[in-house]
Amino acid sequence: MSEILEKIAYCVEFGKINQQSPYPPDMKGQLGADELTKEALDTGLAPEDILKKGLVIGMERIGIKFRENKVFVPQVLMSAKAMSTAIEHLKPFFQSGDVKRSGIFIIGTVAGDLHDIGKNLVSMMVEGNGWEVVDLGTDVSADKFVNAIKDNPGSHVGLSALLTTTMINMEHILKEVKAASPETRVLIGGAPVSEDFKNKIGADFYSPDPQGAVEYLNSLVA
Amino acid sequence: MTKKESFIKAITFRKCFPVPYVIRFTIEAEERYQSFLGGTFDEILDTGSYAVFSQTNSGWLEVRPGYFKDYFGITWNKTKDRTLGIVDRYPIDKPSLKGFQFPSADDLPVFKYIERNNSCFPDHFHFLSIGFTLFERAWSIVGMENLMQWMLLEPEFVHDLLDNIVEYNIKLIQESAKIGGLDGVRFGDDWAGQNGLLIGGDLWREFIKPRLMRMCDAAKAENLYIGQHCCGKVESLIPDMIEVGIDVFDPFQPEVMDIYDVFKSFNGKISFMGGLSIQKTLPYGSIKEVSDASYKLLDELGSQGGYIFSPSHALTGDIPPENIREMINIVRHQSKNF
Ligand code: B12
Repeated sequence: MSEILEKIAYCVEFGKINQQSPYPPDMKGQLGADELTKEALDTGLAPEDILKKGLVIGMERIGIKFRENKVFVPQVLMSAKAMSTAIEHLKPFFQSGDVKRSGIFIIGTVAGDLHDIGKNLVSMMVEGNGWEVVDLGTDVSADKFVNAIKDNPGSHVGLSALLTTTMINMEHILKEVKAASPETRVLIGGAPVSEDFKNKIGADFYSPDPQGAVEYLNSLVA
Repeated sequence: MTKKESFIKAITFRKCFPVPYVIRFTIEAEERYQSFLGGTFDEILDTGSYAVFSQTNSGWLEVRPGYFKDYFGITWNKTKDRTLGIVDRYPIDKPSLKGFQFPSADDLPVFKYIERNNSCFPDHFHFLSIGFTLFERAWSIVGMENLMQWMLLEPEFVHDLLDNIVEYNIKLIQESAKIGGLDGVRFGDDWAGQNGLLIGGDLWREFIKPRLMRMCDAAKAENLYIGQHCCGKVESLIPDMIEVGIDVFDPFQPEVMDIYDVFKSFNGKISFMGGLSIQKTLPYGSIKEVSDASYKLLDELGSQGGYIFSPSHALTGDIPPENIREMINIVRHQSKNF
């Protein structure tokens, strides 16, 4: 990997947004994901490489550390911020089609449920790993999921639920989604959700952490 | 012995029979249980709970249908979740306190609840329950993601914000204590999710712990016992909670820690309240499973002192009323002596 791509990955992993950012303290004054991405583009590196061999690598590393409880939500947020700042520079290439995202992932917290921290983390991680994410927010009905799939053909769906009272809504949403679009993969997660529950309702995938979702989604396009 | 005396006995690690217990309901669960019983239902009288809670999460002003302003002037949307709701709009969106007015704790609706509980339940253990104590209070003002990012990017601001909250809390404790009748204060602050701490131990120790200690000192100065409510996988912070002076920890969620192991490790240093699963046993278990789990808690933990029986959260609306009735029957009519 070229040196600058490794630096970009490092900035994302450690949440170094730009030169100005005081975080992390031991990188004070150094260039961040923002400047380095711009520099990489200026030196003629392919935007696709910057994304997949730089930014995404950093995001993957933080995802693994988060899964292992080595870092926590604040550090992940910093990584996501570094990532999204860098992505701004790549936007024109997404629009022109020079850089392709891996696919579209629709996510929402299911009807009746207002918890959004875990859902947001999954959303950031999946996006940071090269997917386009459509975040439908919280308290999302089956209809909304189905409409979003219609608007985004070929997409996959993630359902989040933090309550036993709302987890049961996953089953209904899953049925509606599959009826409208059988090929759409449905991933589920959240505090009370388990592998057993996934099997019981027949969802495609369960993971206790965002990195699992990323790995599964990537396996679909590998 | 009064319920208050039993409760104190248990949280000071002395064997106490019957084992004291606390059962609380969300609005949805209470309505369902009430209609199952087909009459009126009182959370304290009809469960026989040992503690009453004068809560700062009550007495909010309804500003428009379903929307309530809390003591900090924050509007909560309770149209979906009627017990607590979610913040409608965070009043601070930049790392600056300019223009934000912290409330004074001179005259709060909770003071009336304290008086009322004093006269209705003089024999119960009486908690001042500060919902959204510190970390949660901070995120209710600035938003959870902002708070977490600013801990790293704008630490000075976060320290300042938290200090202001602590000043208010200490005043609240002191003013409440002046009324008399309180036995304890319970802090409510969720620091963890199902898989681990939200902000991690390092940031917790930097931002939360020293302030928690100040609040504990203020409570001890008023001769109050201290309860700490914290959901999620928070086991790694128990030694710190002991160090700052927490007496009783809840809700002791059995899905995220081996509660029997944890109890054994810390018994005599901190007491525990909770333990009956509201993620598994209560909503999905059979009556027999509810009964077995309840007896196990009473026999193995309750028999030793240092334990208050309770579900691992206020009961939610999905729990079959039959299971609730079974649990209440068991704890109300404890017969086994140890
Ligand atoms: C913070 C919190 C709240 C906050 C939410 C703030 C917000 N903006 O989200 C507030 C205070 C508003 C709240 C409200 C309530 N809550 Co709450 N809350 C929690 C708490 C403490 C942490 C949740 C959290 O944010 N975790 C941190 C994130 C990072 O983790 P996560 O959400 O689990 O997500 C991770 C994984 O699960 C996974 N994941 C999540 N979604 C998905 C999706 C996919 C596709 C995949 C692959 C993975 C995945 O990846 C994420 C990152 O690792 C939990 C405790 C717990 N044990 O989880 C209780 C908890 C979930 N709440 C609970 C309850 C009961 C409530 C209330 C009903 C309380 C009340 N009214 O009395 C209300 C319900 C409101 C509603 N209708 O939604 C109970 C649920 C019990 C049950 N029977 O299921 C819990 C478990 C607490 C307990 N003691 O039992 N709550």
